[in-house]
Amino acid sequence: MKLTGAQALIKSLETQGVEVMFGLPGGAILPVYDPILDSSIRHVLVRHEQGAGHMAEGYAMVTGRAGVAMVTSGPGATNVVTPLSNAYMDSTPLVVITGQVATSAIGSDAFQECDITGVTMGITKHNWLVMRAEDIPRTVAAAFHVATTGRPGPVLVDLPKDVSNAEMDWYWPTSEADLDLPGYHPRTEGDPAAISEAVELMLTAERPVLYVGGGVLKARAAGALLELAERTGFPVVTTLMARGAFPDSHPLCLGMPGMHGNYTAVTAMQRADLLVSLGARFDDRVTGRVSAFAPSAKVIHVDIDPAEIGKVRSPEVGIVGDCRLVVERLLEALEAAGLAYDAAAVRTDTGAKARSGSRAADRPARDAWWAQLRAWQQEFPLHYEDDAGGTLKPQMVVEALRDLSSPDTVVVAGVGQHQMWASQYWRFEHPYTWVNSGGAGTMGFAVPAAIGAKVGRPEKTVWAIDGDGCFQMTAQELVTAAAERIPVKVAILNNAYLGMVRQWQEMFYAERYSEVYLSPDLPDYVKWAEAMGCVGFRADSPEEVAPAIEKANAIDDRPVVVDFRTDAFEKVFPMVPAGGSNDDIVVHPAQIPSRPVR
Amino acid sequence: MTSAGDGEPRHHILSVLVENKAGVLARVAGLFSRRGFNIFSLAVAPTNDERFSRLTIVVDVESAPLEQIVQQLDKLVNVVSISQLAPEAAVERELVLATV
Repeated sequence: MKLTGAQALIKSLETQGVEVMFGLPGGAILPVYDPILDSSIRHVLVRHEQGAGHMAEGYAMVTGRAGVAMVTSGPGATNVVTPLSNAYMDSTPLVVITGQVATSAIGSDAFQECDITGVTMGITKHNWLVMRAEDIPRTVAAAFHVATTGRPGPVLVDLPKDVSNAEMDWYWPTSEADLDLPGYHPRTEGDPAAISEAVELMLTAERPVLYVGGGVLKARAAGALLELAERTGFPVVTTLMARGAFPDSHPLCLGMPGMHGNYTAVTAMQRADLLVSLGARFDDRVTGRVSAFAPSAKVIHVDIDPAEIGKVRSPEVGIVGDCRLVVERLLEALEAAGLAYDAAAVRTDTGAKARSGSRAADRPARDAWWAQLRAWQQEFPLHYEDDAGGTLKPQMVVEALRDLSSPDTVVVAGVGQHQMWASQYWRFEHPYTWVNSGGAGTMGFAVPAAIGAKVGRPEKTVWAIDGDGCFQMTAQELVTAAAERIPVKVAILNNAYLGMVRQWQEMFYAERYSEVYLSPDLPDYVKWAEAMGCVGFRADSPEEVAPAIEKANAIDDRPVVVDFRTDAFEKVFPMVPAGGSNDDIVVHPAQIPSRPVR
Repeated sequence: MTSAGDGEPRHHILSVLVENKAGVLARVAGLFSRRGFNIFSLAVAPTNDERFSRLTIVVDVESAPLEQIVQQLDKLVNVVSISQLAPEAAVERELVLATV
């Protein structure tokens, strides 16, 4: 069967099982947009290519499938650089197709030419410039294979216009060998000897912590993790990328560690004698100053990326493999070693379902650890001051959203204070219900990512919790949402500031506020929402919060934007100052008895 | 093998088999530059199999641990295999061409 390169590309995507792609056409990608008219694939027309990339990310993060974005050459391609970088930092599988000028014009500074494979070399897992139409099916199959296996990540396929127009004989690669990837062999099974060593450390630990990162979600390992936690009775911390991997309501859950993690999660890691790191990468936002991080802990580091093991912290035991497979092997080995649920210790106050344990009784030290953890939880819970004066606290808005929405609601955040409050105050009970920009810290992520998440999980309510600064960066994609009937909900925590920067200027720059004020009224978010085909309304006071949320939850035929006018002076606590040790965690001023409450 | 003076070798030689495709050298060089790894010297040569080329890279392990350099290199999809040339098992030659 003879096809043009453009037809072969679309047929390749269909064969690959793609159901939706996000994109915007232009000159160099024009040939590919013609067969889209005849394709089963839904195309969501965005208003800016950055939106296409973030939508594909949101889609990928809730479905586990590769998100697909398609854009033209030059500026179209450079506009997806931010999403590519974001997806690379957060290991999100993405396949981005870019148009390119004709092969004969490459290198001539042609109209809308940009060396996008060169530009994105450092922020993609791999990229391809396709020079012959007959290479298209193989390249697309390889692109999906590389994006979704091993440590997932974004890939880019650059397609010159003459290649799209050329004819080829259709085929589809039938085996991995056909993909022409002689250097790509991700390791998934953990080394049995290392697993035995890990089990030895786990059996003797007195102050263990399961340090759970986004890799657990990528590996679909939440079920295995729950079993491991319950079998061992080890406390669990879930990083910003792993919120939802373990239920926040579980008695073993300590919540989020890191710069704005809660006191118990941060301090448990600091005092631990064993960290079992599963799909986490010892990011600087988690470790604080590395030389002072978890000084007495031995480390078991499980990661599918061999380069992560020892990159920041040398582990006692490194295990390269898929988190789900490795945790399953650990469970088998623990079973064989006779470890059962450490019921006595965990029962101390919350009454988890107990199984009798043959070795549980030998470990009084573990009881002491749990007693210490419970004491920290009691003394330093997350805290904010309810204001009698009637200002709206952003944390209270997040709590109200949480309490008035179903626990399987997908929550999407941008970057900054609102993101931290969302992660802290939402109660995550299910995997793949939290979508945010972790490693890259991309402001403006929430609106388009929420749209992509809603496309991927149309049956779920999707709430974007956004900041006013973030919202202004990508809000135009709500036009896309309205036009395509994608009913996302956006809660703007509008404090009229670039709030996180303001917080740092208040705390570390002697309250010298430089270029952080945005105004609560400019733009008028309600009118803006209405102009974009959304429903928009405002909540100014605490009493207006619940009715506003209920009104928003009742609308399911178009996007909703709620402008919550929140207290501009509220800061995110706890906080580990940048470059500081996690031991120097700063809790809410009201929790420090010796200091006056602000 | 160049020594930093305290007996610990500072330079290691990596023999890296890569796919013979456009842009592979840029990928390797780009990785070294963005990760802050230092290259002491680098040579590219064809192999008897035209699908592959061989890079011989002398790396400076003062900039990063050898293990980390190898693992990051190995993640490049076009890198097929990496071996370290052990000083006791390899012959090292340098050639200087000069005009006077």
